[in-house]
Amino acid sequence: MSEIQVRLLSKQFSYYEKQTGLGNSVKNLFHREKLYKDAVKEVSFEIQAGEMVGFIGSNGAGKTTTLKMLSGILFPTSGEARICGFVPWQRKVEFKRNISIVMGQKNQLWWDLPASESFYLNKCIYEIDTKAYSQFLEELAELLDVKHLLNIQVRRLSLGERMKMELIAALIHKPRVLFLDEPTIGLDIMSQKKIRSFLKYYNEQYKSTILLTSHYMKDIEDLCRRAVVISKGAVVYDGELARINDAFSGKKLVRLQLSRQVELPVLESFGEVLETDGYSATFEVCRQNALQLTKSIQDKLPVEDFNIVDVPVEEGIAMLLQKG
Amino acid sequence: MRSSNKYLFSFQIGMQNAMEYRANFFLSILAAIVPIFIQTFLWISVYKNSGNSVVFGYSFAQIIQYTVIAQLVSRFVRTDFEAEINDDIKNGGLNKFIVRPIGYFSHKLCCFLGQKVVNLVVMIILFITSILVLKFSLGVVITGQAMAAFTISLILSLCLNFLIFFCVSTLCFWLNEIGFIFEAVRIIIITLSGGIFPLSIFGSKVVSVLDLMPFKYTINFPVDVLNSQIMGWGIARGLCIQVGWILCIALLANIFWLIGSKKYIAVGG
Repeated sequence: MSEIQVRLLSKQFSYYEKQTGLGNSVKNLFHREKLYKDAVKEVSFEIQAGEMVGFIGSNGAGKTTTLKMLSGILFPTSGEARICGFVPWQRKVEFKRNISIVMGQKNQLWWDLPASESFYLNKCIYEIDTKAYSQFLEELAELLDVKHLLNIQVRRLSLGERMKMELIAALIHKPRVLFLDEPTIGLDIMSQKKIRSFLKYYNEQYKSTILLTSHYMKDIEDLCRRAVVISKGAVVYDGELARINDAFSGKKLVRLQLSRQVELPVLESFGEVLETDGYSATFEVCRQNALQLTKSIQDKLPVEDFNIVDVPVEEGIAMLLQKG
Repeated sequence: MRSSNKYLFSFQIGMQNAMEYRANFFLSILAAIVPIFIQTFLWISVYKNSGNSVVFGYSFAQIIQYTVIAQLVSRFVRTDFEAEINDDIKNGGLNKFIVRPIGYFSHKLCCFLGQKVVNLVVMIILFITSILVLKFSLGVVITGQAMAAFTISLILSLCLNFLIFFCVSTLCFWLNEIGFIFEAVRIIIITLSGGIFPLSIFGSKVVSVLDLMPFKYTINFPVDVLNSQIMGWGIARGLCIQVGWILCIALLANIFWLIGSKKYIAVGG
């Protein structure tokens, strides 16, 4: 059985609009027109135990809302979900023991206390054996290189250090399923790298199922073989990350360096121009036409250098999101 | 490993917070002294002008005793967590409780009690000082039996007040900005609880209505017990009513929480 099963999950939020100005504020006091937004629309997917899946989408696509429903924080408007066999929003204790969620933008540690106190509280909450707790905490702190920071007030830690502590707090009870919502947001490259390698190790070592959202494609490319892409609340792609460009498999990108400036209309006479600054240009062309096009470009334009490449995953996703 | 450990930890967090914010508590005690003085002068003039030695069923010594004890009791049972709960609901702080096997209600209750244990030390000193001052200045005598009954009723008052304000806090699920409502509600509840003056001042009709509400059992009842205004079976009856209200409001708080948490939208990341 799949560790995570989601079927036709939807969430609708209500909100109201307010025009600017005092007059409208007064009007708002008496009458507010209720509007509805479909944050998540009939999302379905399954994830097997031990899989690490990237959950990709632009801001407001519905990623966080989906994760909140899957972790039991939000009730869905309709649809079903089973995590380790449990319905998340029933919030059963056994369910909570098997999951964890880390939100890059939301602190879950006790702000005024040292991280070690928060870990100890989690030890009590999850009823972890003292010896097992100490050993695992030591292992995690060593892997993330934060052993010397355990007794410092959380508010005094840097963003990167805090995120590492958040991860320890989330993993201390060895959850079967882990939801990560932008765990590397705002972190420097070294911290991002450290967290990525830690997650990779953790997933391999403890066979936990991980659903990861991130705006840094490097996170997803390094960690996930599979990706679920969501746009405007609906799934637009679910499959291998490497094959995300199959939808664009007939396409190639031709990148040119030009020795002098060439106007856009001239460039466009050769094919679809994705971007140009006058001295360089990127064309999107059909695979079979690529060679022929480069030949004619070489003949007619002042080409200094050129190369032909596949559409990168990141751009493939961007194209998917634009279409969705 | 006992599961109660997590709540013991919450209790300790409450104690740590109380010690962290001890200046806040001392200042609130100081703030309690000012109304005591104002009310003492008010009552002096009321008694002088009325010409009677007994007003609203209270002698001058009794009314001053009531004022002092009621102020101390209302400071002791006072809750400070409404803003925290508001923040947790509005800004998504509740998430960490929902995804973990720990009850928000139980955690807050244990935190609250932990905080009160630290406050208790200061309160005991203040109570003893006040009782001694009252004894030597006004000849007030407090019996051991009244003291024992008062202690029990005070513990129940603490729980009851926690529950009442927890219920009020659940309003945050429905209303967007509610900070000012808390203050308004607090003043009304303190007045209806007898935290400012004895409820008999409102007249028998109002008192009979207030008798049907839980508020007087948070301040008025324990103070009357200590001042021997209520004795014997009256105390037993009052304690039973306190327990009854605690059960009712605990149930209500849970229902409000259940309905409210379905409205929770976990904003803020």
